[in-house]
Amino acid sequence: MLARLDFDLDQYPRFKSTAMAILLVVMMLFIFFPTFWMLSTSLKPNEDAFAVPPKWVPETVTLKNYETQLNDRSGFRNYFQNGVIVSLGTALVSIIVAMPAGYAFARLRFRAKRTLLLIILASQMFPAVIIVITLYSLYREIKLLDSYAGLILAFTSFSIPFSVWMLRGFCESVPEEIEEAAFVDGCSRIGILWRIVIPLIRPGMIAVGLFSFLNAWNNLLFALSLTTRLDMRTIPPGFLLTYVGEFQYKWSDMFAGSVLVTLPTVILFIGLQRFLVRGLMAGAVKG
Amino acid sequence: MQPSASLTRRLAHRIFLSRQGRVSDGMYAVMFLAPVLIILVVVIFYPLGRVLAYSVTNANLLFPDRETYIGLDNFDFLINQDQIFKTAVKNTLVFTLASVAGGFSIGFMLALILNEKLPLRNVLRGVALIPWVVPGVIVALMTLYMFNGEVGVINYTLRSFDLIDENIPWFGSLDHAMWAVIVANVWNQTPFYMLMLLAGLQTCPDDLMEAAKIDGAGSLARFRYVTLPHLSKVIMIITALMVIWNFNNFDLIWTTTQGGPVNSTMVLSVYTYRQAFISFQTGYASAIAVLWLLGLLAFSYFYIRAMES
Repeated sequence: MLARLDFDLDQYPRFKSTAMAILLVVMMLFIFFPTFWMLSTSLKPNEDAFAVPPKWVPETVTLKNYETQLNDRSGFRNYFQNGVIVSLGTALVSIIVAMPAGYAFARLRFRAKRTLLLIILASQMFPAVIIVITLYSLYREIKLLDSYAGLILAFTSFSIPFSVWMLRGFCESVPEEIEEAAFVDGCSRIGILWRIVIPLIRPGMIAVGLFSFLNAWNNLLFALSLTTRLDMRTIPPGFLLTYVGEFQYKWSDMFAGSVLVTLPTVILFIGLQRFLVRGLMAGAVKG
Repeated sequence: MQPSASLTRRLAHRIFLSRQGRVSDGMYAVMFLAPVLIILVVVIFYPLGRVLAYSVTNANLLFPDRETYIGLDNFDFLINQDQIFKTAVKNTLVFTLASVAGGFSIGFMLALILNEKLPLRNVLRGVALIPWVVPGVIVALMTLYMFNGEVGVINYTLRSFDLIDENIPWFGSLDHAMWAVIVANVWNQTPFYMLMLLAGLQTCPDDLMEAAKIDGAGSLARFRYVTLPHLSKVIMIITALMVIWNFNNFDLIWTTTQGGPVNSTMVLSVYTYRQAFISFQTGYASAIAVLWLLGLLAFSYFYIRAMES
């Protein structure tokens, strides 16, 4: 083994670039093909989705599947609208509650600080399916089943640990001297938070908002268990009920819907992922 | 004469620090932390406590408030008689380990390659992230289509390369359903490993790499003695996170197979959900949850010990 350790790939640039190119192509095919296939199928008439051998590129391109989805008031449009409301709500609430908490863990001194932080982080580890067994009964008692508020509350609880962790990292990166200067000028804690810290850590807030939005948008388990009425379904349970069951073989419709649902998240994510990575790193530096 | 700027600053710093230690800090802490803690207590810790309490009862979802205390009967049945529970534990381990191993190795290779100077590097990095943002349910629907026994592209491709003679009925077969689900899961998660490892690679100090090169260390040696130690912390964190997340995975398996055929993809999360919401056995589901939590605790304990050494 050790004998081979002095083999230096960089001395064989051609071999290296060829090997890398092959690996890259194979892996990119793996990564990209399913997405391409979803897009391609969504543009075909449904009969062509059953073709063997498969029609890799649609022979007849049609937007009919998209039209069907966008006109489906009680199905797709309803799920989509619920998804937008609940996900935006979750993003907003997560930012509002995690912001002061992150600041407190970064700057304030108080008893049991480490323990509290640990408890908040550990809450992320509990399997959602365990929580939901009794959360359902609790929601039934306090009349939160089938409500936007109930869903937002449940989703927020799952994005809190990560959000607090990330915002703590961002708050720590704000130079203390600036806060001191504001303090000398007579600014209160809340003033410091509002006027100094928040404008400086906007990237962190974007990251938290994005993370929470995606979480809520994609969550199946809570959305499925905590709603009983059809018109309260968000996208994942809505799709589950429509396409795993009744309309299982409407592949083209299904993928047109999937593209419409995935597109906003892909755009949001690729546009904003640098904030998320920065957030992850900011949280990790102080470990 | 003006007092020196640095003196004023130092004074201000003193006051600031002394103020920080005062009672008011504690009050602000309560105020700032209250919203987060209230939400966590209501949505996570209170239900968790209830699960503990229910685990020793025969609570039923359809008849609330009629549960009676039955001691450790649930646990007794779970451990000694419930064969499906055993299958679920085994399947969960297979699913988790295979998913983490697959996602980690592909993600790591991608990260290493995309860390090199390549044309279109940023575009490729962006594209490689797509699978991660596709909702679990849609990943599952895509899996159902692509692994479909008659019209799926997976069977078609395998046949074109003569790897199989006849179509495999992926979701109708006890031996194959799990692998279809795992492949889909790996596809979904690979970008996360890539993203984190790439971020770690980018902070790898160049001078250390250069020094190793000058000392005659080959590619493998540099990887083993420079890159890996630098990434060790990131690797520990992401593998622990992903083991726990995959253990909890529900969306993908519920949408594709609901645990079937004949329990061949039955994992803990699906089994618990079935007990709670299909059979309405809240008490029994809670007992599964308690055993699960104990397992989680043991895993975290040993993992942290391993991480420290």
